Amino acid sequence: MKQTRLFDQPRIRFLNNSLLIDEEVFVLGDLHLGVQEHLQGIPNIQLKEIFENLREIFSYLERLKIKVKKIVVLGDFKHKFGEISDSEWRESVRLLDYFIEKVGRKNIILIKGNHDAVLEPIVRKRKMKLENFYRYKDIVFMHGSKEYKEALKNKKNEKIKIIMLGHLHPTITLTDEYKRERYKCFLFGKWKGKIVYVLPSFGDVGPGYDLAKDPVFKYRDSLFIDERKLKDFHVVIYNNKDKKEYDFGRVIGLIK
Amino acid sequence: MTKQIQKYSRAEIRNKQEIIGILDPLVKEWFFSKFKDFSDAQLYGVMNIHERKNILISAPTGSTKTLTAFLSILNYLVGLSRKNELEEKVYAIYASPLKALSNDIFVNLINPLREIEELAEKKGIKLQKIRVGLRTGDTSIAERAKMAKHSSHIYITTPESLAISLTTKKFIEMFNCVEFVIIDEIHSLGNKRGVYLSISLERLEEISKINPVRIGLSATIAPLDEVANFLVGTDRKALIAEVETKKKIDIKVLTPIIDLIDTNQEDLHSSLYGLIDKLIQEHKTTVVFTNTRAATERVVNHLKEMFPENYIENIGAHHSSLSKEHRSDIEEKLRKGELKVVVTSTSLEMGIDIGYIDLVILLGSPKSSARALQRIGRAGHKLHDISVGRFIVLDRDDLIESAVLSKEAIERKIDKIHIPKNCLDVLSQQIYGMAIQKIWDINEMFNLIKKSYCYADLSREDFMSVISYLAGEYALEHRNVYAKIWYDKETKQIGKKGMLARVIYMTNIGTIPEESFITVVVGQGEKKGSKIGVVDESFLEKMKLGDVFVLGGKKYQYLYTRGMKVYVRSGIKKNPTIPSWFSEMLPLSFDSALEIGRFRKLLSERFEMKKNKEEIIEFIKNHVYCQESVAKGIYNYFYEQFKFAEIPHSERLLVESYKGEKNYVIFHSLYGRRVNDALSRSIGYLMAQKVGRDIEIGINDNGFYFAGENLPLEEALKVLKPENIREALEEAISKTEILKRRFRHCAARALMILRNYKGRTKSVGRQQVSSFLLLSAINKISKDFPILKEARREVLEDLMDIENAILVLKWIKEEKVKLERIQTKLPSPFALNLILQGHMDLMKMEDRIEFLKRMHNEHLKEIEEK
Repeated sequence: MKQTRLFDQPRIRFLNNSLLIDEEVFVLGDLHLGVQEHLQGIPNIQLKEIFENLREIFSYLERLKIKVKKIVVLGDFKHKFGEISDSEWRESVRLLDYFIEKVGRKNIILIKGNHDAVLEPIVRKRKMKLENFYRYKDIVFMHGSKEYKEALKNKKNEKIKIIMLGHLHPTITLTDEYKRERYKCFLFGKWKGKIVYVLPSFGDVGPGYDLAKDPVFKYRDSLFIDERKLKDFHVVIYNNKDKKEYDFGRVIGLIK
Repeated sequence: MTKQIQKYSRAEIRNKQEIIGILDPLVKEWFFSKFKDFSDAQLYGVMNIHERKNILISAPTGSTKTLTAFLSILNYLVGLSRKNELEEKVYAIYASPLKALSNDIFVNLINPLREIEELAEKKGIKLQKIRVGLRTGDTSIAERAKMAKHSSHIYITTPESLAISLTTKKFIEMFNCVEFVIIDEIHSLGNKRGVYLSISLERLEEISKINPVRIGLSATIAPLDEVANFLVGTDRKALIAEVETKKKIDIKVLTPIIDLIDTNQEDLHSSLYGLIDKLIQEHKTTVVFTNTRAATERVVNHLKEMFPENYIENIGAHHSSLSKEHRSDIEEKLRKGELKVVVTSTSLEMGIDIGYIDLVILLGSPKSSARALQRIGRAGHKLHDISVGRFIVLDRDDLIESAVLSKEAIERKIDKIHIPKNCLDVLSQQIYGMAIQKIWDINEMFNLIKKSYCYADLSREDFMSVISYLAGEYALEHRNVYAKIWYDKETKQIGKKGMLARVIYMTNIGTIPEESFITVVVGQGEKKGSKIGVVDESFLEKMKLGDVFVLGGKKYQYLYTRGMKVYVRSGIKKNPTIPSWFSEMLPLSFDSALEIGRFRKLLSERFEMKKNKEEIIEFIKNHVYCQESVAKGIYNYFYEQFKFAEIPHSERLLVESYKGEKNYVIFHSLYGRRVNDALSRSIGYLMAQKVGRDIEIGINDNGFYFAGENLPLEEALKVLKPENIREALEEAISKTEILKRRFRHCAARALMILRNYKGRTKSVGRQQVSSFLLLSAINKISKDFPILKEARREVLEDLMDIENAILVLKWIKEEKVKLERIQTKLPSPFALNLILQGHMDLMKMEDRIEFLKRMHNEHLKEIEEK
């Protein structure tokens, strides 16, 4: 297959449900801490898994002699709307402390998601704040539920080329004649002259949106990017076993 | 091992004068003003109930069972009220699984009571008011409050509402001296609702100072001893009244076209509907039974399209996906005689009064003889009418099946009911309810539960694991805030936990959504925003964007899903793209399957003895009581199979191999789909494990097949034994969708996932997400988590039939059934339907990652070709 130019972006390295930019900015999508909160009678293993995944990624990067300098969380750090439970408070703080230990408080950027209405007090406890968007070189990070036009404006004549989003939790079901398997995936494509990346959820928030089945545009809290545009985006599945990404071409090619 | 079913003595017909002797003069006068004489059910039942004997009355529909039960009780209450001795308490509880029971209750209780009161008034006899209270899920809060103030003497309820009452203080007081419990439609409780009710009955017994007489009312069912055991629990006596039917039946099998194989679909289609229309026009009112909701829709649709002048307002569909309003509207029209024909799946099988029906058409085999009789019994509802039933067959397998089932129906052979045992999800819910009621000693609780037939052999271990789950012991120490009960190991006491316990229990109670349903809403087009009905989840899984399907006789196009709603476009002209849904297809019962196997054997012997065509056709006609054309059809089918290969039968399990695009191995195992499901998945799993690749599996009632590159059958068969099939199956299903779905249902029943919490209803979509997380979490904690164990049990025992699969493996081992392997160039005639139907599942062995890589390679190839 002719590899796309986008795909060869040397600046972007695919990781397990996350990305590394310029070998220094670690970006991860929705975590949805506390999503298990409303489940009854079983222990919460979500945080444990998130930690396991993070440790695995960081030790992999260490082996490659890569030092992460910044961490960007693309929103929906926690799951519940409206109220914070004890366990969410505890878990959020533990995770923040882990990030602080890695890169220091000032190098953590928390983007505000639609689930994060009352995350502020937790974040404040660690003297941090939530951002609607964040700019790094020519890249803008947003959650994806709402478009912040000002984020794309050129303040200092910086040209924004890339947008990174979470929110959607894309997954794709691959099918052959009789087998079906569902995978978390990344999306990337062109939108308004920019390159957009959509990251999968980092935490285990359930099945996610299946691009092959759920017409994205109908979800109330869908991505601000038009569904027709998303169909032209590329689907990338990362295989953590062999540390390789697999480009499956455009969404449209997989859903017909 | 399972305890033996107890044997019960049979009730005998009692003397008429004896019964008259016990009747209160008022009741006697009322009765004989309405009826000439006692019915058989009354001769069997009234006296025994009067003598306070537990009794199971099994009788066909229309035989006045319900009135039998109420007659004794009304007689008793009228006697008390005449003497002014009626107390403020519930004397009798009547529980029925039917929600639409009010009509029956009016006929059999409310009206008689009113008429007796009028009679008393006329005669100047003063009676105390006998109150009847009705509480179902539909009863309003105001009515409930009223009921709680003044005790009803007769309390009408459903299994779910009864369970709620058992945790309500006011009701517990009123239930403290219940004298009678009636369980109606007990034949339809061979499911988790029944299991649930069985514990409720024991709880009622525990609350009540006296032991209420248990009265079970059932349609024709087998084995009666097991149902009686289910009614009274362990270690109690009961009588069984087997009321023989006087109703004559007139059954025929019809084929729309003589040659079912060499015709094109269009001809078959037009003669099929021509035949249905002809039969309908020849009769006054017809009920057509199909086996699936989708087929119901299809039949209504086609009849309207092909005979627009015959069917306009006088045709209706009735199935469980349609709204309650729609269904009661159809029932009402039926009773008024306004409909010429109603097409239904299974929803009209049960006892609601549907007025005068003179013909029942069974489109496709009803899959069990009990169901055949039940359906045909809907025609000529009055006891002495003749029930007219016509089987219309759709293909050649259906022809054989229908012929044998009609024989069984004519000879009134009934297949066995399956009652689930030791369901840990239902148990969780009941223990929670019990803990809300009061503080229990753990042994007292355990012993009470074990009195239920469904839990008679519940192990202490399983019981304790449910207690552990409910007490939050599976959770991490700091998270047991979600525990529902507390268990004190020192004092051995159990009680509820949490302020909201009662609310959580009441709003989440119940065992149905066995399948969760998704509401269909018009999202675009005419009547935008209106709800049309529901489809089940597995149906939705198959739907793609733009698919057209039929619901309520109209066509809709799938747009998108949101949570538990699916949005569609109305006013669609295109033809449906989704023909039917597989998951709800009724499985052929094991007993009927064996009967067909024996029939095959008889025919096989005759072919081998070189009997001539006429002799064999004559034999078929006599054996299954069919007409010449049907016998010819059957003969031809068998003749082709005999000429081509061999006839598989009850003692010969043919295993046929042939090479098509892939290698195929076909098992002609005529044991019904539930058994075949278990056999094929366990064998398939063992083979797939050996070769490390996926193996395709196709299953129907008559057999199953495997397809794949490499099928090491001999090796798999060497490993599989009656002793280890359970283990193999548990492994085989561990990653399947079906286990996930069943787990979600079990988790909801066990209240792990709350549908309603703090006044918020959780959508199925969110429940799905929850159960997805839950299952992945539980898999990591313990394979023996009670609710996961229950989901596995449900798949193996209720959905599949592992018990009979073990039996079949034993037969093979003992060589009562011989495996015979043959090679063919093409699938043999008997295998054709199975192969044509295609695969239904896959034994997943290929690794996810391997699949990903393979798909990627294929994708690259495809892109390069462009």
